[in-house]
Amino acid sequence: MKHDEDFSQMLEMLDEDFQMEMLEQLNPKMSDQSSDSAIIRRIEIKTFTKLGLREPAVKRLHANKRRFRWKIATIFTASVLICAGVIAAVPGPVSAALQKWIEFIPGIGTVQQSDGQSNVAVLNRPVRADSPNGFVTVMGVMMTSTQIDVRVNGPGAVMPNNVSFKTENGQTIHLDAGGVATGSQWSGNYIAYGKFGAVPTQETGTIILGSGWNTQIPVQLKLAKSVADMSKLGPTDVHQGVSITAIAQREAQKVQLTLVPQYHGPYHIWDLAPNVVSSDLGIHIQDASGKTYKVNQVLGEGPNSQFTFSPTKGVQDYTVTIPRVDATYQGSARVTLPIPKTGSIAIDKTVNLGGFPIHFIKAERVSDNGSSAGIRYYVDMHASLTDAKELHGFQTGTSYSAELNKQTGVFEWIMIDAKPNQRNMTLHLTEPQVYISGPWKFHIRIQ
Amino acid sequence: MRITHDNMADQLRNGNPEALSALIEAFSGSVLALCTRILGGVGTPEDIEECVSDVFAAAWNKSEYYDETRGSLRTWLLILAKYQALEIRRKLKRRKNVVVTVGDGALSSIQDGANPVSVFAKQDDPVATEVLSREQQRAVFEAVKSMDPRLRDVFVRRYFLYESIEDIASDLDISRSAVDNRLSRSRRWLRDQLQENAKGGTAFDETR
Repeated sequence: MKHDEDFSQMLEMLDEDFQMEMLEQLNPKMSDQSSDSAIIRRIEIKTFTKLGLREPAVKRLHANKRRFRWKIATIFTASVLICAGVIAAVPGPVSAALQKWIEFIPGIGTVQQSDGQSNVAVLNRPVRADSPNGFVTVMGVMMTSTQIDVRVNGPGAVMPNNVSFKTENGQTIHLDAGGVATGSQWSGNYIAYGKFGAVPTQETGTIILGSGWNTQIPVQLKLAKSVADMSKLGPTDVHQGVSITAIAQREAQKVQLTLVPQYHGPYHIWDLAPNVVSSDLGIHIQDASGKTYKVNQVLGEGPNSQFTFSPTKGVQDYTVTIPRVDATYQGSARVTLPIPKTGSIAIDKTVNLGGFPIHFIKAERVSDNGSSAGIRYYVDMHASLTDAKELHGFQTGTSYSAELNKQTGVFEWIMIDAKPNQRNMTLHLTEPQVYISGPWKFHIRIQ
Repeated sequence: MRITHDNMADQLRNGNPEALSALIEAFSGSVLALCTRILGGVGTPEDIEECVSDVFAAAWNKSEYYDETRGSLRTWLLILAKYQALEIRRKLKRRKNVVVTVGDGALSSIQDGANPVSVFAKQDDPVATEVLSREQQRAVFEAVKSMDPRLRDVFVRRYFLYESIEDIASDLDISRSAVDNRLSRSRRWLRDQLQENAKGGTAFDETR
C-alpha cells in the first residue's frame, strides 16, 4: 500500500539515535516470533562460522547422523498418506527427512508420497515432560516397520545418551543417540533400525530417558491414512516434466493456497512463484470477470509454495496461473578470466554449467580505489522468454553483485572485487539457477 | 562463566563467545520477527536467516559501540536488525532491477495520500525527499511522540516495526477496520503536524 511505503520510508530516514529513542521511549508492543530450536541453532552456527569463532560448549555428541532414507516411489503412481498436523509437530532433523516427501497443507494436514505399501506412524504434537535435569520436549516421533526416529530437546548443555522406545506390547528398542548441544539448549536425534513388525493404526509408546534422567514420556502415535494420488487433493497441471497440484482451503476470510510440485530430475525447485522483474509474486489469480487478486506469500522453511488471497464474497471460481518456477540444477565449472588493466577487453569464452552454456563476452574495470578494483564480466546466457528452461543465474564461489535483464530476469553482468594488480580471476561456478516455464493453470473452486 | 542479562553486554565487549551464544538465544525471536516482516515477500527464508545471522555478527563486531544509557540490548539489536534487513531488501530489489524510490517528487503542499516527507521538500530539490535534516527528523520524532497513545502504538507497530494489520488487530483484540481507522487518523494527524512545523509553527519545541 502506498501509505505504508511512504510512512515506513519516512521513519527509515531517521538517524539511529531517533530510532533508538522511538523504541525506548514509545515502547510499542511488538509481536515476537517463537523460533524453533532448529532455527536458532542454524543462526548460531552461521554466526559463529562467519566470525570464525569456535562455538562455546557445543558438543557434537555423535558423528552418527543417520537419517531415515525414505523410499521414494515413482511419482505418478504414488499414493498419498495424510495425517493432520505432523510437520508442525516434527521440526528439525526428523521433519527435514519427512519434508522431502511430505507437504503440510493447511486445513488438510500432512501429505506424504509413498508407494502405498509403507506405513508411518507419527506424533501429532510435541509432548513436554518434567525430568530431574529440567523439562524435556519430545518434538517428533516417526515409526515405520523398520525404523524409529525420535527427536527430543531441552535446556542446558547435557543431553541424554541412553534413550529407548517401549512399544505398546512391551518391546523395548534402544535408540542410537545423535544431536547437538549448545550451552543453553540441546537437541537430540535418536534412531533405531530393525524389524519392528507392522505399524499399528494406533500406538501408545513410551520414550525412556535413562542413565540419570529417569524419565518416561508416554506418546500417542497415529497411523497416516492414504488417498489414491495427489491430484485428488486439487487440480493438477504438468509442463516440462513438472507436475504441480494446487490445493485451496478457505480459512475465515482468506483462501490458503498450497502448491505441491512433483518432479524427477537433477534439480530442486525452490520457488514456485519467482518474481522476475518486480516485487510482485509470480503467481496470478483472477475470477471469471477478469478481476485480479493480490497474493501474499506465507513464509516458511520449505520452498515458496504457500500463499493466501482474499476472495470476493459470492465468487467461488478462480483461475490460478504460475508462469514459471525457479529451480537449482546440479553442476559446477571453473573458468579463468582476464582482468583488464584499464577500460574493457573482449572475452570469448564459453563454459557449460549443468548443461547450460554461459558465454563470457567482455571484462570491464569499472572502479579502482587503490586497494580493490571492481571488475564487471558481461555474460550471455542465451536466454529467451520463449525457452522452456533458461539459465538466469549462478553462484561464483565468491561475493558478487549482478545486473539482471529487465525483461527476462537473467544475468547481464556480474561484478567481483579483485586486487588492484591482479591479472586474472578464476571463478568456481556452481548452482545453476534455471527458470522452468509453464504456464501451469488451475481452476479452483472455493467452498 | 554464567551469562545473565546483566553481564551480557560486558561479556560481549570482552569477546566472550558464550555471551554471543546467550544473546542469540535470548533475542533471536525478536530479531527474526522483525527481519521476517521487512524481508517478507522479497527474500527467501534462507535470506532471512542469513540476515538474522548478520545482525548477531554485527552485534559482536560493534559491541563496543553499544551504550546502555541509550537503550536496552534488545532495542539496539532491533535497530541493527532494521538497518541490516532494509539493506538486504534494497539489494534484493536492486538485483531484480526494481527501482527503489523515496516519495514521488517534490511537492510544495501536502494533500491526503501525498508522501509525508514531501512536506520538507523544496520544489526544485528532489533530493530533499531522500534525506531529512536533523531538525526535520526531530520534528517527525516529536510528532509521533506526541500522538494519542492509542494511535501511536498502532502507527509505530505498522510503520516502524512493519507488523501486519492482521497481527496488530489480533494482538489488540480489535477489528481490522479499527486498525485501519487508527492508522488513517494517525497519518492525518502526523501530516497536519508536519505541515504546521514546515510553515514555521511551534508544534515541536524541545520542551514539549
